[in-house]
Amino acid sequence: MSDLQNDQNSKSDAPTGVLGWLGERYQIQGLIDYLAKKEVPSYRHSFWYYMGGLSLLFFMVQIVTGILLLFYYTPGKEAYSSVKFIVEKVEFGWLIRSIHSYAANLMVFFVFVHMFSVIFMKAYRRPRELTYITGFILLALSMGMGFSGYLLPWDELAFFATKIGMNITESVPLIGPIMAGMLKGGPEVGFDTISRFFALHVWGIPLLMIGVLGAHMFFLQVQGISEPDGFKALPVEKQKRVKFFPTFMYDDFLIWLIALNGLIVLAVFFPWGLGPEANVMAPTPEGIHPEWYFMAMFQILKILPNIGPLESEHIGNIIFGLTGAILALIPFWGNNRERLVSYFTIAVLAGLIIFSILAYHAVGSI
Amino acid sequence: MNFPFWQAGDGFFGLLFILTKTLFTLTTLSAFGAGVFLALGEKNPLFDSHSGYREFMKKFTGFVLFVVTVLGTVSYSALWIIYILTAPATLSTIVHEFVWVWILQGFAYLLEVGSLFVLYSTFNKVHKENHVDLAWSFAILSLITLIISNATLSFQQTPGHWLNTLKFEDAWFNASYLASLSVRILVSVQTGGILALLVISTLDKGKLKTEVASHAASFVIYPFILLPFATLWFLATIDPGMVDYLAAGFSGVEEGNLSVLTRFVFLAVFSAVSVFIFTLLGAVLNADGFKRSMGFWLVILAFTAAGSTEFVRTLLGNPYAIAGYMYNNGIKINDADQFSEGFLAKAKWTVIKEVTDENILAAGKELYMYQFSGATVSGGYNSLFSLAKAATNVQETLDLINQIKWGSESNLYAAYVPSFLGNDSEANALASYVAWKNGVFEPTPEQIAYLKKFETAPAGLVQ
Amino acid sequence: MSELQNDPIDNIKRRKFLTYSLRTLAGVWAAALFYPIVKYLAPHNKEVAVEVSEVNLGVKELVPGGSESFAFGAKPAILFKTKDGELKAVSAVCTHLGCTVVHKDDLSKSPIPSGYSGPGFFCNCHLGVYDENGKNVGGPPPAPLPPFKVTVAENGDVTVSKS
Repeated sequence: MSDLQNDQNSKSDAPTGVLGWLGERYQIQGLIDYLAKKEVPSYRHSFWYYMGGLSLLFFMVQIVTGILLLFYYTPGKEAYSSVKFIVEKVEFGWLIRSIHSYAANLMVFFVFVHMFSVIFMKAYRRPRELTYITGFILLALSMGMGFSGYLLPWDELAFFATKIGMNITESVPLIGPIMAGMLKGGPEVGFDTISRFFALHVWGIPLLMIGVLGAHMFFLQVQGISEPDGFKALPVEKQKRVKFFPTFMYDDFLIWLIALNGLIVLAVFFPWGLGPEANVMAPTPEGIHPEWYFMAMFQILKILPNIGPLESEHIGNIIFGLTGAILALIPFWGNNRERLVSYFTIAVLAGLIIFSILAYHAVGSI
Repeated sequence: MNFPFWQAGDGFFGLLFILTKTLFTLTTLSAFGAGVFLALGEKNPLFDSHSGYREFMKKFTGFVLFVVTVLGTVSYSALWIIYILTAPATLSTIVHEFVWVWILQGFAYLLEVGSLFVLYSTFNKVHKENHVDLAWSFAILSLITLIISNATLSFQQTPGHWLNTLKFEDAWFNASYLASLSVRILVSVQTGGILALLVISTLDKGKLKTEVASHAASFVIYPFILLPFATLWFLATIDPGMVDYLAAGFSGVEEGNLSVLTRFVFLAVFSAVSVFIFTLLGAVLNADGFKRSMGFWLVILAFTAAGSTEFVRTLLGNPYAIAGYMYNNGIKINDADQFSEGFLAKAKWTVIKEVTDENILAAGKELYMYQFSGATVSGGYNSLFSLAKAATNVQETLDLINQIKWGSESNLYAAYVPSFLGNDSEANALASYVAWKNGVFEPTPEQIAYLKKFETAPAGLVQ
Repeated sequence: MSELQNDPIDNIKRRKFLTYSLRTLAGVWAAALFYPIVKYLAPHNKEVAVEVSEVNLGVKELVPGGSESFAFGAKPAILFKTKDGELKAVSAVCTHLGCTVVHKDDLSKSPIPSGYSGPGFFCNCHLGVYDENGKNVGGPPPAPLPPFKVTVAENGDVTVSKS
């Protein structure tokens, strides 16, 4: 019976075909062997290991659908009509744009989930500080992608959401007005702003993201996935691990398949809408609000008071800036403050959820 | 026609109905596939040589027993309750036509469960040959149940000659009977394999798991090769009108003009393809990684595929409960002429018999309840309210209702909703009610007061 | 316990079958994925190119030997007056590789010796030469320029139509 438990396959022969051709010229086999040697712990919470992969999947979906949208989209005065043309006239344009919009939101969502799960599993610890920080930068960049992309269709919601965002930027002391001016490209949010956001959305931020993402994944591959305390505390015979290649990658792929199914169901059953064209002179419509991941900030700004010489936006900027900085620097708090890190993160998470609910309640969605 | 006791028109109950129906369909279908898996599985030489394998087989038999008895009966009774409450007329017609079939089916089901129970309890107790025979008898009994239930289901879609002859054999051997049966048998084999994979996902990784997983996966994968042909055959046997309706839904896909039907066809195809990929990559190529969560997702995907197919089948049959014979609001086509002269006066259970200015909303609601609420069980996608959404006043709503009136030549919605039956004042009452619900009609306080009375104490209003 | 090693031939067959079905599936999947993308990328003229069979140019005052280009549908064409005072029109799309030709009074000055002199059309891209009837007389063009029919109404309105 003993040979049944032994499921080790004998090492396969050298690959043939394309892989073989490449292998003769480059050290492909080395890479495969390296990946095959890597192991990922398999236990009750290994579910969370797939969050980063899902974020990556949605990022790739964004690149593909984004390039497709670029074939028809025109920034500037024709922005709105070109998006309208895409969703109404171009064959399957509605599908591509819907997928792009949903995948954007899902990407931000999974990056958030990924970050919080990493913090709670204490995967940011030495020696993975840089993996964490690049991850944090990726979160900020994802939100930047969301913010810059939101304006591009130039519908009513997009216009006012951007206007609010620009006013917040402007209230940052000293550099705020300069930054806002550079982003807006004029005294007010207008067609020039579309061109600038467009440049950032399709080249500036994505290039940065690809670079940072490369570093992030490189660090991950070099150091391997972190094993949490609970797993390490298990007796050795209970520490189950699976091979990164192919087992974990197959699983990853199947989870992507589920995610793609979900994405297509969303796009087919609830196609993303396009509001009326923005009118710079029209009054702000009722119930205006930004995307969900800015909702908590939106609500906090609404309820903050003016204290002495500080206006409420200034206080908001201080709060958001400090929270962001503290979160970003979690790996450097020190080993004896891990409990504090957990409490702080729980507080931030709770704050995000509560203020988002309040915000949706305030605009009448809940 | 009968009175529908329960208004199932809103989304939640529609969804519940579809989910229950899917659960029931899957459990009944899975029995035959699982039976074949069990019989073949016991023939495997591993059964004698490997205790882990025997343990797996017993575990799987127990699981099938659970599915067939518990899930089967729970979903079956739930389905009956929903049917009795929402569509008594349809049920009574089908039962009436198939009363022997129903008894036979119940009997076959009892035998099926009995043989499965014996199979489970005689593990390691009877001679192996006999045990394999037991497994086969379970499989065959399940197949008989499958054959019988297929008759009643396919009859509703294609009653064919029965409409003229009303003979039992014409109902049984209806046009889509064989095609529909072949689809069901293929899917049955697949569901058996998926149930096995669910149990396999709980096994520890190792050579046994790899071996059994790929065996079970072949139950899922091979039928996929035949399934497209069987589906095409089925489409060829049903009413060409239904196929046109299906094709029409696809003509607008490129512009994003998708009918509800088309969306669900997409969902069915996506999830079926995903089941295929999942089985191939998860269970065959990477059995070690096929953990409980993977088994869970596989079942979810399969359930989605089956559920959306079931939903498409229901929508395709719309607006008929029995094609060409009875609308799904329980009104027989033969009675339509009579009702179109004045529905409220002719129908048995109505509270209001004649439309007046005061009772216009109440009469409209009553007409709606009888003729349309039961007809849109499936979530209200094609409810009268959504069709009339574009209308900006009562007159425009009335135009729509006249368009879907019985005998109207310009009825664009004949494939979605039953024709309206009633005279002009009834059409006006229905239009007022729908327009009011859609917020484009301002009734007088008296009209609203009368409606309130109708809703709370209808007995006092009987004319 | 050796039972788990099934018949090796059977295993190879199964593996082969799986490989094939996996490849077929990947192919079908890719096709399904690319169909919307191919459809999406198909050309979309925002101004629909209408098939034109006649263009009204209004009153045209050309000196003999003079020419003027105009649009015939979506493509360029040339209206010109011969030395004899006859009004003619040809398509201006060079039959070689689609450049736009120019009308010249005297083609003897052209940089290649085509042997043709006199008025005609010249293509700057690959030095194609046509005579005034549109016939290809020198350089690479494989076919003549399609001529149009020109009619002048009593009030001087010039109409160009497909001949």
